[in-house]
Amino acid sequence: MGHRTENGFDLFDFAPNVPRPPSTYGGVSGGAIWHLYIEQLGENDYAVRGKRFIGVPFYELYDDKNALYLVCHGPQSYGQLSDAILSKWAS
Amino acid sequence: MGLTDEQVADDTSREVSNFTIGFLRFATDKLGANAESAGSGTLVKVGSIFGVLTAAHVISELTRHSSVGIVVFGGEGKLQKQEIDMKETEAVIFYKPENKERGPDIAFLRLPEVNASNLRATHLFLDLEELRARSDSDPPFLDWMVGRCWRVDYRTRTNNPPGRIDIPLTSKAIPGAFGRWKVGGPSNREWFRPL
Repeated sequence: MGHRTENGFDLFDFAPNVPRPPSTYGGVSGGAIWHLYIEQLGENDYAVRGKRFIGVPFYELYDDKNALYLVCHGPQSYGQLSDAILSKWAS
Repeated sequence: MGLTDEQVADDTSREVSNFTIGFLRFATDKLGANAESAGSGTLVKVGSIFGVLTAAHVISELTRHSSVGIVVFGGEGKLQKQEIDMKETEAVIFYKPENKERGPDIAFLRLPEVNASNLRATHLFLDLEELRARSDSDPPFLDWMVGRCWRVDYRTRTNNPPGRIDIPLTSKAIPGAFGRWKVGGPSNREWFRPL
């Protein structure tokens, strides 16, 4: 599923792609999802040109193929959190 | 000269792990001190306010304890452990546990000054306001994009003398895909192209 809004917060799904998936991704909660931007310089030659933090995983669910995926908060959510932080402590 | 895909994975892991922390929950049993996983987080700041961005259910659990640990990655891959006095923390929490996967479940834990100062000396904090500003701009998409979910993983040991906690830790990156991306690219391993 793509980006969506639930209860006023933006969410997206992240589907891990690992050879031997664990029975749970417990411990991932609260971690980070990053985009890493790669430039291909040759057949086996790459360079990392950028990285961007994009979200916080908080829940795991099974898809219709019985594979676990992670539900994550997106940029608007931590934007709302940032507003609340400033509202509470900025003086 | 660029990097091989293995080097890309290693190098980017190192860069990203610099912002990542793991929470530890302490306990003592008849075998001695032990600690167990209590979730992950990212070092962030908003102006001059320093803390950890994480899931609300992680904070909800941690506030039941007077003291919790955090682990961070120091220079050259070394791990550092710190203890947080939870009485000295404050939090902003958006949490409706009854909504489960529909959220919200996101929170900010403001670190005590002593922890924030120690971490600022050795680590970077992501600026949430900058992140928000950049999220509205087009991504700097090049040839490939890698999705990684980052966490700190570890095992506990319970056979130490009281007061000593020795925890082997590892940091794991989980490659994966987003709704609008599909698997492709070199080696067909963990690279994604836009649909």
